[in-house]
Amino acid sequence: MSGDESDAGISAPDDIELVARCQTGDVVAFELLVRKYSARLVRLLRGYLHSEQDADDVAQEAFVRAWRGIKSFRGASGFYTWLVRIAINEANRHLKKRARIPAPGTVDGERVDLDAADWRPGPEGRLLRADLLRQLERAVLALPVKYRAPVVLRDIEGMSTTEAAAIIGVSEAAFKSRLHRGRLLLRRTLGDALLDESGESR
Amino acid sequence: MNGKTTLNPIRMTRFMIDHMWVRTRVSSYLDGELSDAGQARLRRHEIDCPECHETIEKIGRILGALPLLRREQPGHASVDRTATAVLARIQDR
Repeated sequence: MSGDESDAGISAPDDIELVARCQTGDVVAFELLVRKYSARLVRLLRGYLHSEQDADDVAQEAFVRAWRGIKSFRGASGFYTWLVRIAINEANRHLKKRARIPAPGTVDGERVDLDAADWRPGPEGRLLRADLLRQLERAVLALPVKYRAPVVLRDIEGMSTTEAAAIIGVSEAAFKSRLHRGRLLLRRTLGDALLDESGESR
Repeated sequence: MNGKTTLNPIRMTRFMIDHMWVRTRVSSYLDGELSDAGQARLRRHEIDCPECHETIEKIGRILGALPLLRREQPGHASVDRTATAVLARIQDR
């Protein structure tokens, strides 16, 4: 987890207190946790599922499951880490049920153009073309779930290996192996798409 | 390996061992998780191996671009919607 997003595996004291209150059935405390983490979770799920509606549905389901299981939460990881683990499992179930890969560059079936505002500095100060971003997005969405989660959590969300491995529920070594495999698949899928403006292989 | 270079069997064997070693450690290298000795070994091999060099280059570029796919955080309306829906479900039980 990066920057202002703490809770990298260790609960902040207020989370511990809120969780303890939740474990006694305090719904108000749970609402505070929902409001604290909802936006982060929905953002992550939008990137993972590529659908705003699906992300909202899965986030709600994850919170409900978290509430139902809160008494079994022992604080071995941070609350958010635990919540994301539930959400990713739910998202994977959702993907399996839907068994579909949404069209790239769409949200809820509507095309979302990565226009000029999305031309951002890439590596070495180059401008990354919007169509390249679309290809990259398509490649991530085409990854098998086993490899998509590591790539999304580590390389897009910027989580640490330790936290991302904890979320997926595998050892760090296994996580690194999956992450590497996912990156190799991206590289294979993108092929020679990584061309610079002159058409020269970058 | 550079096709123009002919290696003796011992060097060829060493090259292939390094090749397999590097192939499984590209991510660790790019994540800065290789030891100094490991980094040196990888870089030595990369000089002689266009295939590994290209893999490192391309995955490096992918890693540079992936954070651009990170979505914007939804606003208060989304939080309110989620909180309302979740509370309705857990209080409905």
